[in-house]
Amino acid sequence: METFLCLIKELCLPIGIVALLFHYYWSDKSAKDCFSISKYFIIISIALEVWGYDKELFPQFFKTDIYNLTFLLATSLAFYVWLLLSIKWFTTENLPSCRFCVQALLLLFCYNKLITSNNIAITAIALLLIIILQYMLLRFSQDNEEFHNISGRYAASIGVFVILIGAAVWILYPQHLEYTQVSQILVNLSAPEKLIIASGLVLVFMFMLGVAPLHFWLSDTIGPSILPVSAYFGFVPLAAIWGMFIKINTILLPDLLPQLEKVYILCAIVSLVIGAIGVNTTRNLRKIFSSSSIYNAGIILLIFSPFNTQAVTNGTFYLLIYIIGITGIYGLFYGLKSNGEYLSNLNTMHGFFKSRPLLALILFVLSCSLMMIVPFPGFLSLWNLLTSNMAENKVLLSCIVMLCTVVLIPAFMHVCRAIFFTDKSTNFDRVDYSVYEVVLLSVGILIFIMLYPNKVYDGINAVLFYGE
Amino acid sequence: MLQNLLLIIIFLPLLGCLFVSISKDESPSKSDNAALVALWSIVFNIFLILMLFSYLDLNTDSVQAVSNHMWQISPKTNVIFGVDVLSLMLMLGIHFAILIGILSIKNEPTNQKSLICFALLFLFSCSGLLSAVDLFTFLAFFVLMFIPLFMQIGLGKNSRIAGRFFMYNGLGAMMLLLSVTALYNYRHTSLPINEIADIHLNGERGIWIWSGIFIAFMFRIPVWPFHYWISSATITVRNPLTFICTNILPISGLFGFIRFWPASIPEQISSLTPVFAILCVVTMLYSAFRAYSSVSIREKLFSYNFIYYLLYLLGVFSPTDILQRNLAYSLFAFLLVTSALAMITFHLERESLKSGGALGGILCVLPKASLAYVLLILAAVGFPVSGLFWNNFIILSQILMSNIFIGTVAVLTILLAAIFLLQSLYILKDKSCLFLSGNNKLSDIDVFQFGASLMVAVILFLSFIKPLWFVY
Repeated sequence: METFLCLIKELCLPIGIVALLFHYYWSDKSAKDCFSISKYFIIISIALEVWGYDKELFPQFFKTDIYNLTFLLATSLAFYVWLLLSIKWFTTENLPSCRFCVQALLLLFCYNKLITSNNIAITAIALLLIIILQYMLLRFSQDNEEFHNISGRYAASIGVFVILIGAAVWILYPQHLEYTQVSQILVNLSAPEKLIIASGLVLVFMFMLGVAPLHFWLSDTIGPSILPVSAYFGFVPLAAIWGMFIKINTILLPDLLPQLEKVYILCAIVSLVIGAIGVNTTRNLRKIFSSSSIYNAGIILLIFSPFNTQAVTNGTFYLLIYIIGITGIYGLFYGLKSNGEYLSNLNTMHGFFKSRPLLALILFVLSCSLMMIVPFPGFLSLWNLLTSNMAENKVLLSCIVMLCTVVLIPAFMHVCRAIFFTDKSTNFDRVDYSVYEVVLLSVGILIFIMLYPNKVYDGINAVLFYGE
Repeated sequence: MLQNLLLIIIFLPLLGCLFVSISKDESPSKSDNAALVALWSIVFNIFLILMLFSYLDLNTDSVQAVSNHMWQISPKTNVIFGVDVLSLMLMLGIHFAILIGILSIKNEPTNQKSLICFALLFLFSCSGLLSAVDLFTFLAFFVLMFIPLFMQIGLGKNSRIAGRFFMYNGLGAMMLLLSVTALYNYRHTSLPINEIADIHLNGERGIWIWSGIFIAFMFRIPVWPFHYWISSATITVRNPLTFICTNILPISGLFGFIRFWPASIPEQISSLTPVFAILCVVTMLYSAFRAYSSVSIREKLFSYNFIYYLLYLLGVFSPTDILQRNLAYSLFAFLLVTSALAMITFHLERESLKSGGALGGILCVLPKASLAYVLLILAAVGFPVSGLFWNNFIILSQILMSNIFIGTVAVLTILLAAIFLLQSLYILKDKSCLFLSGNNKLSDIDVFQFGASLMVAVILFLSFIKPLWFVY
């Protein structure tokens, strides 16, 4: 029975995909039904993952523990929220959603395998599948004129990463590919081989996270894409990718960390500068927040960069705050609708405070957290980062972080001002309850973190270093 | 009990802000419900502050009603609140000032609700800053303060001014944050402000840290060359509430200097006091002459604010703490006078637009505004039956005692400030300038604004007799 349940756990999402295809061919094609089927399978998958967090059918390829389970749950929840919000978009636009749902479930399945993978070949396969599936997701916006440029660059990047990951696996292939053994093998390899393997493993994650200089696709993608695709790249895969990035650095590449730290700090600084300048150069809300995600990727990378216990806990703490905040923001985007059209330009937000005061207030709170303004939770991470930098005498680094933050803040304040201090000129549509649920939940969790940061911090510590 | 009372006083404006933001109004241009919520929360808070005064031991300058809340363990960060007579007096003054500000935007055509909402947020941050006992709490509210004001200043097409405001204040906040994080590494725990002196900072590092802190405060006070943001912001803002809030902001810098100076600072920085003092008097003189030559009554009022803040700063720079009470009493009276004057000035400016923008003689046809304006101008120039007179006299005498040259220039500037304020009164009362056409359309200040002006006059008179007349 237990083996059967384990098998169901592994195959739950593929079964969901088959169910969706059956529904597509033999039933009516309403958007709502496809989403309902997907949601149910995600819930079942979550339940089974929790039940079988210490049971694994293929222990040589996959490993389940509290750490993996936590990031897996976070990713599954993000997918659930994303689908919950996206259903409204497809219903409003009256478009078929089966292909979208199939891709969503496939992506979640790949992410699940990526998070639990204990074998470098599995990791590489899962990563490549994810990148290709994300490219397929981009094709939903192919009506947009900018799509061909974006997809071209994205496809070219995929090619580069296929070569890099392939090279890494090829170097390691004759030997064992399990994580713990790979780290031992790495010690005995020559410097160029180490460099190829480290590049293959690290760069692809940095690309997916939008860390500069591999950020070029992110703001181009989020701006012109349809809202569900923007939302996907905005918040859905963050937990999974960062979770894997931590694992790669702490389990596979611990010997290379002193060299990698310098690279990470450099990339983080470039991300901070590009992100902070980027937010000030556009009036498109989605582009503003995509540039801010480059900035935030820089901050998170900077916090993580030493990859010691303290840094990993602090980084995960900020990652949690950021994911919750940005999820709330994208939730709000689904509520910015006028005459059935989703709004993204700042000029069309006039009078939002007068029409939807609660949502405007929530946007202000979420923005303040993303701006790291005290006493909002985002500030706690900035405070942690600055105090640890000062303790290590990294005064210049602290100054750069602060300067970039000071450059970033006016853009967010500009958004808030456009919402609060403009006369009513747009008639906003009624906001769906699911949007209220998501944004209220986000802001509620942020307020909880603001009031009780220690409880959350301790919880993160317990999850990350369970059993140590 | 005292601690809880203080916490209620600090957080009530925030609660008010939340209620204001979700309050519904029948008309999109008028926000009577929002104004009522704000007024009641401020009035109730004033009552609580007076209540707290009656529980405090007024014979001591130490911090009372202290409440300590741990916020974060790593790095250990506590939020500590507490008040003394100085901070509570300033808190009371700011509450009155914002109350007057909200009364004065009742006829504002647009964005009333947003303005009120952010004014309450600003009031919350002011109360937090004034009751901050430790360095982190001080930093938190110091940074938070300028966010609501930035939102207000950017109203309309003022983005460039708001950008300038942000640049100055953002850099100041950044410097304070960096300095405070550097100080944190000496103790790795929350640091009460009065214990900073115990930290022995080594030479160069100490100078960097203290320079960061003092430049951060300087950015908030309109001292040359840090003054540009306030002059451009106050001259261009379009409503009295933002004007009043902008003129409250320098209190944060002044309060920072009061708290840190002279006990906590190292010798290298305190030896620069004459340089700071010379910068102050030069700025005061320049501002006084500029206001004298200007015809705008708003610019005269702004220069008056400017000069008095610098006078208080000179008082803070004097090498003693004995002036603290006088500074508190004088600042309280100053806040009341300037906010009431701002209310009437903006009303007169708005009304003057109906008769072609000319202000000359306008008070001759507005009897209530005239009476209020005369009373307030007399109080502002230091008429000897107001609270401002007696305390300013003590502050000036102390400055004269510490440096005769600086003191003399300060007295001269105060005299010039009185002259240009009386000059503005003369222009407004000058019948010969009166344009008769269209004057019947001018409306006087309403009963609430008139009542507020009279209330200020009465409070100033009572404060002259006994500064803490409201404590029993």
